[in-house]
Amino acid sequence: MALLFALHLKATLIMKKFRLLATAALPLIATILTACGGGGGNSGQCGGSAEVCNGISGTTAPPSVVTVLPAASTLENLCQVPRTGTDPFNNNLPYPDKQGSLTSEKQWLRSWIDETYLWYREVPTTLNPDNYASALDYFAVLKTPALTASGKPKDQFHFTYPSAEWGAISQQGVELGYGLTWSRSPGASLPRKRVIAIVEPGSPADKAGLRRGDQLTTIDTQDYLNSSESSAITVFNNALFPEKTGESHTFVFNRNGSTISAVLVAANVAATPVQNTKTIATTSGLVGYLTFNDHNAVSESKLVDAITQLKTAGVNDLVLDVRYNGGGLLYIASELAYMIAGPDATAGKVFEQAQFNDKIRPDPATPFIANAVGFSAPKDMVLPYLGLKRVTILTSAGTCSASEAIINGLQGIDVAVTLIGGQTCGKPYGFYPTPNCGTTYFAIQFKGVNNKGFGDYADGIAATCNVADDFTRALGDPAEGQLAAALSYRDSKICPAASTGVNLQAGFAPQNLRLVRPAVKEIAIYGRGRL
Amino acid sequence: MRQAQCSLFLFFFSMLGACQAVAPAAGKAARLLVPDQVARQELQQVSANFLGLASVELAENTLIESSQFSYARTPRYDTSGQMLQGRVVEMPHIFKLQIRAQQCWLIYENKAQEVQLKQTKCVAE
Repeated sequence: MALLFALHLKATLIMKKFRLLATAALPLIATILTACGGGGGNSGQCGGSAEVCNGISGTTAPPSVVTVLPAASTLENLCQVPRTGTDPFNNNLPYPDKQGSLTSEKQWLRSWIDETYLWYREVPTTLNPDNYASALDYFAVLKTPALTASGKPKDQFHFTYPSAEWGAISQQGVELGYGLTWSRSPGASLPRKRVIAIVEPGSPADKAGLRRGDQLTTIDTQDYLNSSESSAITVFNNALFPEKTGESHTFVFNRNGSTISAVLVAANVAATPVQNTKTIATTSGLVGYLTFNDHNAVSESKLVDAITQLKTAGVNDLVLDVRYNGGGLLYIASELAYMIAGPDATAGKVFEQAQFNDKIRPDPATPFIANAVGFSAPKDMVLPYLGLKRVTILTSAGTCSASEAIINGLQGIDVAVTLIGGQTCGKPYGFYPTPNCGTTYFAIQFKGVNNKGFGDYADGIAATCNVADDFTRALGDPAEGQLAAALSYRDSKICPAASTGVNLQAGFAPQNLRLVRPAVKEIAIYGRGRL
Repeated sequence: MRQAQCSLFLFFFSMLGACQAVAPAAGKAARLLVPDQVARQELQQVSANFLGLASVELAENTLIESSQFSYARTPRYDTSGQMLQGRVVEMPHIFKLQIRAQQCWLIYENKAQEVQLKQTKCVAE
């Protein structure tokens, strides 16, 4: 069984990787892919995720599409301004671009959306492409205008990215910076609030003595809280988002009324995706705790170590802290869910099934993975497990995608999941980023559902108890607000009264703070500076 | 029919890889003995060659606390701070350091390729 799964997984990964290559329009490979992925006239038996059943929406054309659109494959790489030279992220092969026009780029977009977009039937048919000055402008409206139950746009994840940047790769778990993860107040209002959420062990910030909860007040002598001059904002962006190692900036913080000054030198910092693994003794048994921040390759072995440690300690319950975990490798999420629930609860069950539109045949479901994929743990090693029937998960609006898949996957096999913190971000969706003429397009192409077929949480997964992030305490401290509430709730089933029991640092409205992901230059300072 | 086509495709794909790859011999997982700039530069250059890139960067603690490292698409974020791609199914590029007959080898796991490191000293885990 394990071998069969491994073969399936390998084949799936190869096919997915191959599709990416194909979208880069390598002629030979594209030819082979056509042979493998739905060509050959096998109408109705076309293949694979994000591959289109019929090149032309003919007999299966949705009611909303009045005219038959040409196949996107006949329009790809026909560019208004074809790139010349070679692609440094594709073995220096020549760019696939051919001379086209703005019209052909828009036509490709319309066809590609019609073929692969999850809600292609809801895209307005009245849009006149001539009314949009660029392909990007046109793409921006090629999505469903529907709203969720809460009134938010149903599709909040419709993006583009320059292919030259999207193609870049970097070492997993390594980020250029100071080893800091920030939370900040949203929007452009003053005074700004920016507080340290995580200090990576051994990082420049750690060596400078900075701590979670320190509030930023000054950068390179500029008043971070209140300055709005463009020169100051340039200083802030340059310091907060260094572009090369060795850059040095002076940061001043407020720590409970005291002033802390630190000169930080940017470095390639290896983040620790799993931290603070520990056991907490309670009157109802030994509770395990771990902080899990990133579903990257490094995390696989770290999670194995953490679960092994907790299993050896004999925990009978777990608090999993993913409040800052925005997702990543889906197979890591599946492995962790397996390690929590164990083989009896997961055997033969679906962790997540990707649901595509009705033109695309779905992928095989992702099972609960019982043997290491080999990202960093030994390939095929039997994963340890706790075999729990309940788990508490600490969440926030920064808990996204693969992290939400853990929650939904466990709920799908009737593990009792208690969420303490904030409503999750609500991203049950996925993409197959597709390049054309130098831009990589992201349009929602699938929704992940659990073993019960549920995946409708576009508004986020609601917390059982809403508890603010407590920046006055270290993560993993049993007195930290969210963890304290989790430990309390598991015995009493009563949520704390708001966050009144938490000694929040003066001046914060923590429920309004938002996690700042690294390399988010676009949101460094709203409305000004480097956007 | 389609399965047969896919099998042929996978066979062809594996043959393409076989043109360049040699199954690495068994060795012991290793870590850097002398994690200096010379070793890092050699590792960076070898990794970049495997990946077909002009250059790549390595963190200073690479191969000090573990015997492997990996590369993947640089995470990108939207204007609300969420990862653009939060459900990743692409396999990262995985590299492992091994020691064999007192020689250090860097294995590119994805393509079963390897190269002997000339300037890097390592020790078995």
